[in-house]
Amino acid sequence: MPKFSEVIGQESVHRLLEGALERDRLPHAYIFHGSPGVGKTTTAFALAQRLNCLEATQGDPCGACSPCRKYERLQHPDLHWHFPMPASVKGGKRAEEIRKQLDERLEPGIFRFHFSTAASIAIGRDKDTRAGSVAELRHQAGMHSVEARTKVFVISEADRMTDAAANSLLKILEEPRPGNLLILCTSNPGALLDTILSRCQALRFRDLTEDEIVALLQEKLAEPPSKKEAQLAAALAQGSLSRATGLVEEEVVEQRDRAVRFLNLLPDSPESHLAVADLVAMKDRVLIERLFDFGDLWLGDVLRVLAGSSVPLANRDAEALVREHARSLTIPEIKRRMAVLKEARRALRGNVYLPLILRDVIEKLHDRTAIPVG
Amino acid sequence: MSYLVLARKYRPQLFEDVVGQAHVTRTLANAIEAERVAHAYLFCGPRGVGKTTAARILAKALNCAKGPSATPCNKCERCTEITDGRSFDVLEIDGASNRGIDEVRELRENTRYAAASGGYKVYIIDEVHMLTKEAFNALLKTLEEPPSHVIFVLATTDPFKLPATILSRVQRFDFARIATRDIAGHLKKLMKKEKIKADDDALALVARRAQGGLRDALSLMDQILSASEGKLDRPAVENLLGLVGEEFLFSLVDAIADQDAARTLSLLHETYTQGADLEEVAKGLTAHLRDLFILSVGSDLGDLVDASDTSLERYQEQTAKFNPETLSRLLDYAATASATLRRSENPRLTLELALADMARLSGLMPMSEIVERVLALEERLGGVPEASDSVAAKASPAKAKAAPAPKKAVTAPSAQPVRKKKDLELETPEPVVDRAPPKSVPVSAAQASSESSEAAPAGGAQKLTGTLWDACLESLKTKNIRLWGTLHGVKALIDEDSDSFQVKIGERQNALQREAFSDPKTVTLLESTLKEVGAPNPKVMLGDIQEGAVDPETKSPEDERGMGEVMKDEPIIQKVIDMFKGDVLP
Ligand SMILES: Nc1ncnc2c1ncn2[C@@H]1O[C@H](COP(=O)(O)OP(=O)(O)O)[C@@H](O)[C@H]1O
Ligand SMILES: [Mg+2]
Ligand SMILES: [Zn+2]
Ligand SMILES: [Zn+2]
Repeated sequence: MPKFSEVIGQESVHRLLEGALERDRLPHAYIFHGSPGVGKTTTAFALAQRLNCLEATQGDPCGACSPCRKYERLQHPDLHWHFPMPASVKGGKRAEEIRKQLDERLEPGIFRFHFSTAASIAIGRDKDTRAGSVAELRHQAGMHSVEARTKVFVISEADRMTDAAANSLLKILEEPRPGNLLILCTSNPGALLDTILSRCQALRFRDLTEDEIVALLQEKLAEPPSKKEAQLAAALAQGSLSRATGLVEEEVVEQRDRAVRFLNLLPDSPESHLAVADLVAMKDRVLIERLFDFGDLWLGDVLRVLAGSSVPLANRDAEALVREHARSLTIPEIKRRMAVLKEARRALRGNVYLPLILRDVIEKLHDRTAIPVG
Repeated sequence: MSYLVLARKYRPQLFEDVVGQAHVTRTLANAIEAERVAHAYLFCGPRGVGKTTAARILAKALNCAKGPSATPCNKCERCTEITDGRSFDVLEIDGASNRGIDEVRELRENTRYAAASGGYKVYIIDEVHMLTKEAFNALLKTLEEPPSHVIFVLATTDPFKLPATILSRVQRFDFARIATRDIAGHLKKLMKKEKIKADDDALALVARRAQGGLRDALSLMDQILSASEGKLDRPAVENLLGLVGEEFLFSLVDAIADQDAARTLSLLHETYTQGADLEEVAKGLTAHLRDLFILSVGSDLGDLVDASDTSLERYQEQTAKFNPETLSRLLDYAATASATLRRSENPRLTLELALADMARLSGLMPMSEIVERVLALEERLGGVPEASDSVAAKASPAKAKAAPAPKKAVTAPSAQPVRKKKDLELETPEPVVDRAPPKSVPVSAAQASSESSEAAPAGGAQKLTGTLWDACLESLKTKNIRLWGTLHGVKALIDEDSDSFQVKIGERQNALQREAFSDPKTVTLLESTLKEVGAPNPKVMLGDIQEGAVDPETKSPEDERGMGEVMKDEPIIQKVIDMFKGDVLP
């Protein structure tokens, strides 16, 4: 079902693509960039399908003609998809891994493809998006298409290509055979080579707004979250639908409340010892990092209140408490505390002894004279 | 179907059509005319500036049926074969996908055969930096004894990856980034050919975005043309490329000037929900503040500002809302936010915090003003000159704070209208007066001048060197005004023992300044300028070198804090702050 109309919020990209088709100015290489899970891959597939659909003259591909049906099952011989894959997975496990990767890549819960492992597409055929797999791409790009007018190559997470792989694409990206279209998808275009950027049109996929994410979560998920949950997940997801989808599966409201309590613990108090013990017992660094994320989000809201801003709060369900906190904080103090959280995150990733990190954050979040680090 | 992108459609087929590389094309043309063509060339330079293009033109020039001629006919069979990439005598090899030794050996085999046309055989190895070490060695053998009919053209964006042995065998041409003006001019010509109406302003914007790469400019142009309706003006380009508009930046900076944090946040919220890229916002803001800062330094510097003549006036109006010191701090904030955004956990919060902070900051008093006011106050209070010394000395972050301060009471006459707070009388401020001169003394351009215009500071040598640095900056004004604008306010750290002149670039310098210092040309220029103004053995040093220059014993936590923080501890400053209801710039 890769349809443009299924992709929310990317109208300006779609308008541009439509314009390029209409004016016959479709280039041979695009970079689709934007946060993870905002519709890049779906748009790439929809474009491939639309280019080869027998019926559509505008907007979505028809979805019914014979090429369309192949694209919808990701089984068209002229659609090539490359994405990084763990090199270690081989044999029978490989199909499983591919299925897993596909699930992850296809905007979980929202866009579903029927996929058979017998598909003729090149799914990360070699190892990673390493030179090997790109060699396959170059080989394919040198051959006539099987049946399509336009052969489409989609490279996901293109910024993860090795240097050798990226360089070996330069010639194709500049002067491919007629009838080839390369689409490089990435959430980090700055990491692409200058020489690659120079050869492509870079289309930005915008972050989805919180409202859009809330609506999508409530509309499309099998088990729709409450408004409150959806709102918090959306605020933390920063424009990415897939991030938000992952978040609503967690207990976001509870996590947020825990974070707020954490921010206000008195160093060395019985509560603080208890909180540290609880968190250490969970042994879940990701969860603790999430705690810090919610802490940031909370401080951000306090900042908005302090600034007298009318921008809606992320924690709008707890506005009264945000306002109360704003009474005792200043902008420099918020800045300092955010720096404390940032440093703690770094320690967390650096595998520093957990109780130490936690006690230290509690301490520093309160000590106003402490020098912010980082 | 299959549209040919502008970059391919308009690939120059003659040397004279290659924009901005006259130093290369003229030399090549002369060599061809004089029949003194080298056996191996290296074309290097940034992306999209004409390396591959020039290599192909060279090949044609050598093989044209009417040649060799610097102006190939582009009509004969041989020329067209080369243009279409079908020639057997001109082989273009992608070094990045044929990087192994086997491929190079094959190529060597091939060089043995004479050209089908009886002329030259030209091997263009593009992206040659990707060859493996073994492949380079194999290539070297051929370069050492090239058959007389064979010419190699190596092209790369990354010559540093080539072994020295190869470099010494080739005639090297460095292709330059193409000037924004030239790119804009080229675009204008092409738009005429494409029969598309475009404002100069719009094309200039595209040219700037291309950052010296002509192909980048053409890719951007393609993108614009695939979506544009009607005439191309600046807003249309901003819109089609998803750029942060000038209008928006003016509003945002106005809000900062008005110290209206709420409005900065609303503006950000609005543009973000409309789909703006936060990184672009931060970059745009930085560039905008840079322009304002440059104008604040000299209103005659409009040329250095990325503004059209019509909007220049607006820039100047906005500049007038700030003083230069505040602008330089704001620029620093924006540049820092912009640099950290990508690594940030929550870029939006990072940017919101930076904006709110900037709005706050623009309401704070710049330090020079505070020092001035303190000095004025001291005078009115009948204080003695040392007090001003202590202020200036304290303002220097590298100062020690160990030794006990000689007491110096500020005698306070009873009825001073300026003092609003009672406690000024109750608590006698004890400014820390400078002790034995530390080894290194930082002086900023701004401070040095305020010192010299006020009471005589202790330690003539320090003052002298401070003046030298000032003189150096002053002289830069005529040499490289842009650099001068950037370096304004950089602290020079003078190591008196070695008599060398070190320029301190630490965390607190703004990003533009740090960047300027990573350019060896800047360092050379500074050193020669320092010498001219009379600095003995000037050495401009970067990075952590200044850490060593500061005596670790005397390095106090204050060194890590902003100057404003240090100053806040100073009782008299605190008083002043209270009095003026201000705060110290961090
Ligand atoms: N100096 C130039 N003058 C005119 N066009 C240029 C120039 N440099 C690049 N271009 C345009 O960009 C395209 C790519 O140029 P190319 O020579 O392949 O760049 P590179 O330096 O990366 O090899 C050309 O086809 C042409 O359209
Ligand atoms: Mg090239
Ligand atoms: Zn169809
Ligand atoms: Zn000819």
